[in-house]
Amino acid sequence: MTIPKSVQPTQHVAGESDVDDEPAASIDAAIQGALGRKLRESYEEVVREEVPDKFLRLLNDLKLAESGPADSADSKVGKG
Amino acid sequence: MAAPDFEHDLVGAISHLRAFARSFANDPARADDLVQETLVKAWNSRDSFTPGTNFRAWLFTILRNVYFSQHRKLRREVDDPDEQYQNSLSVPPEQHGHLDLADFRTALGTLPSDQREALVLVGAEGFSYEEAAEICGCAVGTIKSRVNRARNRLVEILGDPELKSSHGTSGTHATDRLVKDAVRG
Repeated sequence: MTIPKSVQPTQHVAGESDVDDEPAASIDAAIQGALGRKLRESYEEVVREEVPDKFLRLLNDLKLAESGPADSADSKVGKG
Repeated sequence: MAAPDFEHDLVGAISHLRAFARSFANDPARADDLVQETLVKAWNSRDSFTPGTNFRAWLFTILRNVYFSQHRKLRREVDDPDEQYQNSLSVPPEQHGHLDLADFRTALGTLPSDQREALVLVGAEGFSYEEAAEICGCAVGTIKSRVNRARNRLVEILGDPELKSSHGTSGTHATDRLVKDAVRG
């Protein structure tokens, strides 16, 4: 008598393979944790770059443009 | 928001806008152009910001809109430079003792842009899935699945030093390095 393959019970030796599963799961968690740190490190490196002056000049220009030509004469350039 | 507060917060957000912009345009000069245009748009539409809501999320939404409106124009005119950039990034990570930032960025650059964006918003900027969904104008579940796919894909890419080769017997080198990094803390 043969048992059709589809209904054969999975040959699962509880002790050994469960021992194998656990480190795999923790390695996966470790990899994801390390990836997360790399991602933040990579992003923070750009965030920490000094902001070029052109951006502050742009905002200042936008402010001046709004306050109109009458105001611009006594407007301070930046906040110091 | 009063004008001085708005300006103060806007100045404070520039460094984050620059970092976020780099996840779209890998060329730093293009990324900065994107930030400049975002600042102009944000300044001109500052009355539409609702005080008490997430200012950075509001700015990121604007930056995204600026990017995609430029990008559509660009795509019509020339070959997509970002796609070309992504293709040029398909090089194997160097085999150092540990995974350095350049290797990581190379892998990040090969992700589909929607996945990279979701991962950056949630994993790097620390937005909630809900906030990221609002910024991207999509469902929360979509963001979750993009982030998951991005994470899995990164492990896959970094786990295969040959990248494009179909069989890599030493396929776990980069993940080994990640684990080493993880142990180092």
